Amino acid sequence: MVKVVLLPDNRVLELGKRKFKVSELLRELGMSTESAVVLRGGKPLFEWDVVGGDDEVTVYRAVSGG
Amino acid sequence: MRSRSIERSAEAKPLCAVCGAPAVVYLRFARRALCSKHFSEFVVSRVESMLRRAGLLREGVRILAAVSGGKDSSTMLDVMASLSRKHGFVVYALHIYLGLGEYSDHLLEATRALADKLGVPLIVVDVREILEGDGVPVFAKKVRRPECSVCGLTKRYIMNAVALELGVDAVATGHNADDAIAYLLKAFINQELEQLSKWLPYIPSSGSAVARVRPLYEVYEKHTLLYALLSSIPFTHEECPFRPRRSMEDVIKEMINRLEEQHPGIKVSFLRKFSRRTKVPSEGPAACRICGMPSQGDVCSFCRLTEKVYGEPLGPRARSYVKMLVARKR
Repeated sequence: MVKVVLLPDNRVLELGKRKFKVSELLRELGMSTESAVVLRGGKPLFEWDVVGGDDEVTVYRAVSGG
Repeated sequence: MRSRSIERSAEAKPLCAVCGAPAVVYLRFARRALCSKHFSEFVVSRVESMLRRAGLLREGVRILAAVSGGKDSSTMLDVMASLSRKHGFVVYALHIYLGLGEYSDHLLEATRALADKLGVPLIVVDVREILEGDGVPVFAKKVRRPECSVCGLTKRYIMNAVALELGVDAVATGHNADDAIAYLLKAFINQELEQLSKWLPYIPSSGSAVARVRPLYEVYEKHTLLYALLSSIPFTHEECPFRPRRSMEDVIKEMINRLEEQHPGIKVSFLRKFSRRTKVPSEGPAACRICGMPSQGDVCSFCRLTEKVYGEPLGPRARSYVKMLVARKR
């Protein structure tokens, strides 16, 4: 099960076992690849990287603020 | 010879275009991947170039960096602290405690930790000391104005007051490229054309208005966040509880990011053209007859609004409080 943690919203999504590219994940979340930083295991992913299986990724929305 | 080309497959990881180490970011507009070290250097070089264009990369220059504790201003302070060691200018950090509950506490905590880590002197102005115990949300409610508008007005007032008291050459704020474009397009859509020149990267001092510089003007918002994450600097990635959901600025940012995806580099190209073609307003603001701070009219907005709510204009009180804080730092 792919687990997605969305920050700063602090929301957690579970996206099943399928594989998808980071760019596809962001599109599904309504974001462009320029609007977020995606980390897996603390390391930034490229937009063409694939997530799947039991991956846990953190999506930091850049468009946010105080 | 080792290939440094970008392999867009799940298996191959791109290598840094400078040193060949595993890359952490692909800069689409530059068509190059960079490792953590060289990405940081890229951000530093953009800030360095902006400060050079503003004439601030000189020994003896003193800059007040306004730091909220969020990703942008924290990145700005980290970069400026390293540049100050290289070029011999002096950086002070200013944090304005706005009285927004736990959110403000987290921001202050992050700012203190960062200033300590960098060895930068920090001045903390608590607005409640000026507004008779009220934080910005209460002040906004009493004056019947949106929180963001009152917050911006209060912050600008305090930044300038501290800058004047310290006698610095400029105030630096953490606005990034995306912020500048979003505010520019919003002003254009609303036909507030007189607002456009406020979004230049550098606005020289004029009368009692201290010079403003935006060191992150050519750094994308995504990259200020990535810099903050990779350099492990203390910062808070929380949203202000009073921030409107899906503000016009947010919608514009998402639109320009989609445009950037299709036309890499368009954001920075737009800002460069805007900066080249826009002139700094020749007439600076007048001085408030009550507190002496910059004002569009006879009395500044801060004195006018505080008089309406608290029965007396609080500009002079704000300036005395700031004077006391600055004297403690000397």
